[in-house]
Amino acid sequence: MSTLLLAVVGASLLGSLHCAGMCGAFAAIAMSSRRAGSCSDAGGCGPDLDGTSGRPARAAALQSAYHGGRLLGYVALGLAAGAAGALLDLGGVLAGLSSAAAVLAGATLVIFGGVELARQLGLRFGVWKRLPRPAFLNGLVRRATRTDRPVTRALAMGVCSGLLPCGWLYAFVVTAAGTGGPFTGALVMGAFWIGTVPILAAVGFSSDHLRRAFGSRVQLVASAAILLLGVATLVGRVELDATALARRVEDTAAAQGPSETSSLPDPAATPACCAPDGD
Amino acid sequence: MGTESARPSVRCTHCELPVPADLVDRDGGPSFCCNGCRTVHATLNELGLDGYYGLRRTLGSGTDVKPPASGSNTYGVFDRESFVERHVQQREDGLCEVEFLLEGVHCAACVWLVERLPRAAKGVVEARLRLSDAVVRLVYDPGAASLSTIARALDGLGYPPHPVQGEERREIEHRADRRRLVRLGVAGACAGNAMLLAFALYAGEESGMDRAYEQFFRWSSLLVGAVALAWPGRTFLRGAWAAIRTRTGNLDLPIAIALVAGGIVGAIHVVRGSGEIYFDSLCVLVFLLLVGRHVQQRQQRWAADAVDLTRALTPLACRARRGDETEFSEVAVDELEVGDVVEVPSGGLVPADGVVLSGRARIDQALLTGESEPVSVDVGSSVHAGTRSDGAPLHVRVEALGANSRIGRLMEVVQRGLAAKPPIVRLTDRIAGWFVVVLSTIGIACTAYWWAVADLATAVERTVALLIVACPCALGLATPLTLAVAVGRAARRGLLVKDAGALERLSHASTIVLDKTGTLTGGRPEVVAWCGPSELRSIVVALEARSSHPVARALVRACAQGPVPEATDVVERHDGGISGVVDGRTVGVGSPRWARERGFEADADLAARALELESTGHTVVLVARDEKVRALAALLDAPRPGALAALDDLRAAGHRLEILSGDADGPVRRVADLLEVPLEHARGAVDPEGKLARVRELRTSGGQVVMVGDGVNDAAALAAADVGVAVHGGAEASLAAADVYVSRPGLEPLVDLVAIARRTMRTVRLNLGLSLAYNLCLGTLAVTGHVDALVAAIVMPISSATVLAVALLSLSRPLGSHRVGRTEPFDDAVPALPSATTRADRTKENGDESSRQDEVTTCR
Repeated sequence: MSTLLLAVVGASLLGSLHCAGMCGAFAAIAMSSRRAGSCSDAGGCGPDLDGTSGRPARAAALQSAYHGGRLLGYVALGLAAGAAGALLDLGGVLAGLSSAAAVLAGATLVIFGGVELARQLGLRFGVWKRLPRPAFLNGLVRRATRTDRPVTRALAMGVCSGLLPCGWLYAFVVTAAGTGGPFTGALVMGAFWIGTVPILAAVGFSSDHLRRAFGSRVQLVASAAILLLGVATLVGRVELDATALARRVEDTAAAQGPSETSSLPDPAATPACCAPDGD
Repeated sequence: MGTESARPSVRCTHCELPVPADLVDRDGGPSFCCNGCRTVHATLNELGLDGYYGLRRTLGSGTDVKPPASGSNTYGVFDRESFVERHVQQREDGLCEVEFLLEGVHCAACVWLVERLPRAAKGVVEARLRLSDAVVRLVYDPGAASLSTIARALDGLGYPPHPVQGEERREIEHRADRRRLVRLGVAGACAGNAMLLAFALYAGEESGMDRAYEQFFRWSSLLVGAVALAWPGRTFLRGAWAAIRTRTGNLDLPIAIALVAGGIVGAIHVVRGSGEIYFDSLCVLVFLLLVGRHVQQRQQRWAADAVDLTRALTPLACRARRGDETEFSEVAVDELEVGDVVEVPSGGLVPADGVVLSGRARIDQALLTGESEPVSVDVGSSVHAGTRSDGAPLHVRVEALGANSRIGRLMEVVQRGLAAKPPIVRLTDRIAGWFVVVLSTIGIACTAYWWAVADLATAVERTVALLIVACPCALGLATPLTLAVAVGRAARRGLLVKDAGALERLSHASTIVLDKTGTLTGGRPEVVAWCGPSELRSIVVALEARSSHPVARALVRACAQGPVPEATDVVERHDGGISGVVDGRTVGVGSPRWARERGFEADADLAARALELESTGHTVVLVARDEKVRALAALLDAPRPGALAALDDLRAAGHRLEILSGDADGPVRRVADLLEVPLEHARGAVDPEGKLARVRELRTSGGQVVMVGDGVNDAAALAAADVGVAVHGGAEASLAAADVYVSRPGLEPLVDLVAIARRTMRTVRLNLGLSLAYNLCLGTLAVTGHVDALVAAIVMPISSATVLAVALLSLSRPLGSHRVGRTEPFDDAVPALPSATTRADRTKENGDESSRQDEVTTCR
């Protein structure tokens, strides 16, 4: 389990430049200090996006609210995904398959990562029908940006981040599902969150430098990371399974142990009839 | 691995990372590296936060960003001048009014919610929602809020607004219907599956199921339950959320609490692997509640159709020809368009406002103008929807339809009256508000009690049943619905009620102030006495045959018998008389003054008779031959047939009657005498100012005053009275001041009105009682555990159906028949001398055409 978590943190850290690009906007909104109701002549109404948050204490509060919100959203996703994975596992067991969730999740990740990687290398797959945009997201973000309290806004923007239909994010959600338990799922998403904090905290300082330094390799690295994560899920689960299997055998033995030992003759012992006299 | 050549040159519009060649938009639109970026980009644009990109550019990471396309959900269109011009009405006090059709309105709870909009949106002064057609009328301050912000606020409450328009409206209703049905279907599927799983689990409990299977079924139940709560169940959660935001209690709140509590407890038990899971009950509950809502919605639409006033007064279908078609075909009036040609058969109702292209007919437009005499129409004349045609079939080119037609605009006034809440509705609202508070308290008490006495599961189950069964829908629905039905029924009887509160006031005993002309009397004099040789009658007919004066018409009606001789040299100078030559002798008919001016003499007997008749309120006409008065006719503007019976009905209902008339004192006192109104309560020669003063005087003395009078001349008095009932003057003008416009002549409509008012209030009270009793009974049963949540969900819609049925049935029973059979006595006339009275100058002729021939008394 800890191997998987470490792998997740690593992959998340590597690919988080993508997060900086995509969620940067949300982070900027979260960090803005102006009240929602105020309007400027040029920029219309709503939070301004200058990324400066006045006093450092305030900035820290906003940062923790935003990242806390993200953590909440991610953990909720992880719980749900893990529960779904658990259900899948149960179904798999009934159907005679072991660790169905892990296999399915791993395979999904490998295929997804592979396709992305191939795309980066110039292969064409054609665009599938575009996913419909979740309508409720708009409403949530709108409500969030209207709030008068910057901390609430930052928190809400963080929670909303978890709802973005981002392939990168959902790769980790699939990983969480692959663990086959709500709590392990939440752990995976927590690990993912840890990996994304540094780069997103840096948004508003100088993420552009980082981005220039990495250039297009960001996506290449990210795709490869997803692929590896898929492999790790498959392997990690198999490991986990082996220990679990062993434990189950032990449990069975423990449950049946005492009665069996008392009823069956000990082959090592000489039957009473044949025992030599105790002198 | 990645070569330079393979690296794509297009960058993501949002995050500026390179976009793989595969994902580049081939039409040159914005390209995105992933779906996440696309979503964020669109969201930022729609929320007007696209300033982010400009900001990023100035920070120097620099690629060109295309200007964002304007969003579709921001309601920016609502702020455009053209939109404002079309849909917004400026009020005199600087505020603006606008109407929106709301999506997602489903029951009385929505009314409370939407009407709390002023709390949720700055600048909104008032919000009134008509449940029947889901149209909200907003009064707002254009300086403090723009339409788009208000629209977004409504959207945020869960009611996306749309401009009210016929076509679009049907489309929206259609879409909402479809969505509701999909939700219903999903809820049904979830309920079915959850039940199956529950059966499996119960069966397993009996027979000892494998632990793994049991866990699988439990987790599957969780999945199904989550879907049911998140998709179809969202309706309730959203309603509850909106209630919390506006700090109002609504029905969705308890349901949502029940659903969420059940869901969380169930989920915990699933994860723990033991304990009761509630998902089967929850799914079925969601399903049943949605079914209930669906049924309710149906009922409401049915009721809305039943009370749709414009529909009630115009035909539903007609024969029409569209464009260059040559044949007329049957079409629904709803489908007509401006420019179509409709055919109106003889005796048929005109379906829309328009211009006659061919045909001649007489049009009865009493409803609009109060004019009982049909108007002749010819090619080029305008005709109005809701009027009745009589004559050759008319071909009419449609110019205005439905709400835009004259009758439609009129009905708009009436419907607004329904939206402005009469006191009884405000009372119900208050009761309902308290009801929610009391219900919540009882709910908490119920939970606490059963948790303490039994266990949490019992407590939750009983509380949920209580909260569902005690739906205040019936309570909230009963009164406005009953009033709407009553107004609709009244409209069909030719009584246009502008203010539903008038019905409430009319049901109390009050002083009814009546005008004489046209209300108590036909406004049309009739000959009641004739003194003189009867051969003179034919001379009168010969002279007056061609005159259109009301008195002349009355004389002709009374005297027409036998052959009529020819009259020559007929002179009518509109000076109170008419003269000519019949059979070579000069004859004349005219008022006593007219006769005196010409020096016609009468014998003493006849003169005395004339004086006596005039003093008792008669109008006297003298007949002269050879410059000597030979006969006299006495005319009376007699009370309408049935007037006495009608007044008796009103008196029996506890009303005090008073007659105020602009007519001379004599005739007024006479009519009062005939109708058994005490003479001290009958006054003649009262001008409109006098009527106003009297109404005010009566009101200050404490009583409630109902003023019945001319919609135009007596407007001030009508407006000053507690209830103003206009009987003349055209509907539009009258309803400006009066609360009720009566388009039928006579007193029966007034009696009908009072009867409808009393019955309406009885029905309102009955319905309130019913719904309170229902809630009390079933609430008690639920608390004691005799009704469980599922039964409650089935019973709930029945309560509102009952209320609806009571309202529709009790108001569609025919009103009680008026007492008839009392004869109206007439004084015998005696001959008298001519004196100085002119013909009463009466121009109004509002009596019904089917006049009765009163027996004319003749002198011996």
